[in-house]
Amino acid sequence: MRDFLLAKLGHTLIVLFCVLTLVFVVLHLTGDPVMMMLPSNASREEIDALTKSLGLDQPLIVQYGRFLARVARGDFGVSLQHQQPAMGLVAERLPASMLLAGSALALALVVALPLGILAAARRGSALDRLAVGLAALGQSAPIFWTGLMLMLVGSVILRLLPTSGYGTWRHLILPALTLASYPMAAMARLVRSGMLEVLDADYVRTARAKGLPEREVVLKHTLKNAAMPIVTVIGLQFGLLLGGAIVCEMIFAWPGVGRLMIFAIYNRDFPLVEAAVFVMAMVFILANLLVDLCYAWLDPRVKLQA
Amino acid sequence: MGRPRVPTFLLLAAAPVVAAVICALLAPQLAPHDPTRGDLSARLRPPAWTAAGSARHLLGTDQLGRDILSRIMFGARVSLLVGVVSSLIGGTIGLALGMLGGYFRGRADSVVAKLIDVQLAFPFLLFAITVIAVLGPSLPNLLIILALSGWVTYARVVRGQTLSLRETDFIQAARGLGCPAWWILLRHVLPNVLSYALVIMTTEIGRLIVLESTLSFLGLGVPPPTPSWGMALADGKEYLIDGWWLATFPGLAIMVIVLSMNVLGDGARDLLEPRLRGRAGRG
Repeated sequence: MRDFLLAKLGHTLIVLFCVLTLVFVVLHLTGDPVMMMLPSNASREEIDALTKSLGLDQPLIVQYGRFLARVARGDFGVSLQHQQPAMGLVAERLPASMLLAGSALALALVVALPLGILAAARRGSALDRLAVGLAALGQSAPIFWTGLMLMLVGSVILRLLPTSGYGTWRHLILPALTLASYPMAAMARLVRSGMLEVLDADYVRTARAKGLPEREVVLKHTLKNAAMPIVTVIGLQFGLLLGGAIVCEMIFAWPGVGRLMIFAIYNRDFPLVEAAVFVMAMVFILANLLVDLCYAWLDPRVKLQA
Repeated sequence: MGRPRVPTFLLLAAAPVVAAVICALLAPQLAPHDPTRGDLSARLRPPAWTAAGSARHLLGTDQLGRDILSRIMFGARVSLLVGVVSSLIGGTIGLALGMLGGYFRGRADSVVAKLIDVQLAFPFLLFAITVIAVLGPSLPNLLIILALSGWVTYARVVRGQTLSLRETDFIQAARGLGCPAWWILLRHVLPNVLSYALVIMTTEIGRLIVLESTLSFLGLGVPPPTPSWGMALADGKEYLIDGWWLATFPGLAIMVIVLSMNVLGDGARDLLEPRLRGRAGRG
């Protein structure tokens, strides 16, 4: 187990390093950050002063070293627009994003698990076909369209829920439902196919032959073995969830990290973009690490392969 | 064994794709109006079948009085172009890297595997947004970034197939005869992995169309006034109360195309796999 943990941790560090290098390269080599940070009518003196204060007159390798040192201290500089430390601004918005992503993931699981199990247990029934159809639709609709249509129905036509904003549970419903739509569909499909595969296995036939009630066969003998691919997919979904959260926050004016980042891009507020990208990448990497650990816990064979 | 029969549902699924291709190719001839010219006296007209609609604008008009149907038809150009071209570029990169890694193994393979790992470990939309934020939105930038998003899927599958192909008798024979590696890769490996790449490409095009429209929706896609489905949706968001049709129809277009692509991809895989499995058994 220790070797497995160390290997995973090493891998995580390598990925993190790559992400940081990528952020540095993208923001520092493609054009002059000073020109992007200053208004177009800035004077020569202003340009020189900012270049010097950012250390951009130093050789690239020195800048890179300083960048890594700053990041290690959690210092991403001061947001140009808000005149506050960029990391602080992102940290302020993080709980809202986590609330949205967490609710969406929970919602997706609560719907997808029973739906997938029932569809597999009653293969070919009307319920099965409905589940498969809904899942195909859910996986094809772009998330921003799902969001707008839910807003149209829930807020504009039925006038049940607020169109946007943050604060009460009523504000959470539409964004969470929107964000959940894709992972819900993907998971329902996967639970169904995972269950179908296992339902044909010999030990399931044995369990049935022993005279166990079907309910017990499905829930006790099948579900546990079908859980593996589901956990993997939850891990894979996390990246999509993160990307989806950005779109969702934009649609519903949800005050999360994604929305902060997009507005920082519009305003060319690069310290803030750097901090936001870094935090989102961190969350994603940590979530994947967690999934890997879950995986090893569910299936002891994984540890041996590492 | 004869040619596998193509199921009817696959033909049905292909219909929207064919229609979109025709719309994209012949948009200037087919579209009823100029997609970029607005008529301010005809702003926010509802679709023709509603009480206030007129037959002049079948799907209504947007906030600047531009015809929605025409904008969807012209928008198909951007969506399909971006989807097809970037999946071709991504497919080529993925095929090349996958074949090289799988065939040469050793160091080349571990470099490819690490590249795949790193890319999978990073949420792609985040990367795309960062790069476009710096480089600025334009069609070439978009094509390159979307191409970079897709190569991994091809590389993984092709690498796996190449690994098993290189042990087969006919490849071993070619090596024994002294064929150079590039000849074996192009002449013997490529034809055997190409069908896998084509199946992946079908679903990839759908995914890339969604990704492109997502970036457009965030204001990071092909810049205006070029009509694109994602941008039409972003415009429609502001007018959800006064004009539900602005956002509804472009989104419907995306969903139908992506659904068709997904069904076609699944169908192609089902048609292809038994045949390929048979071949592996013989080899």
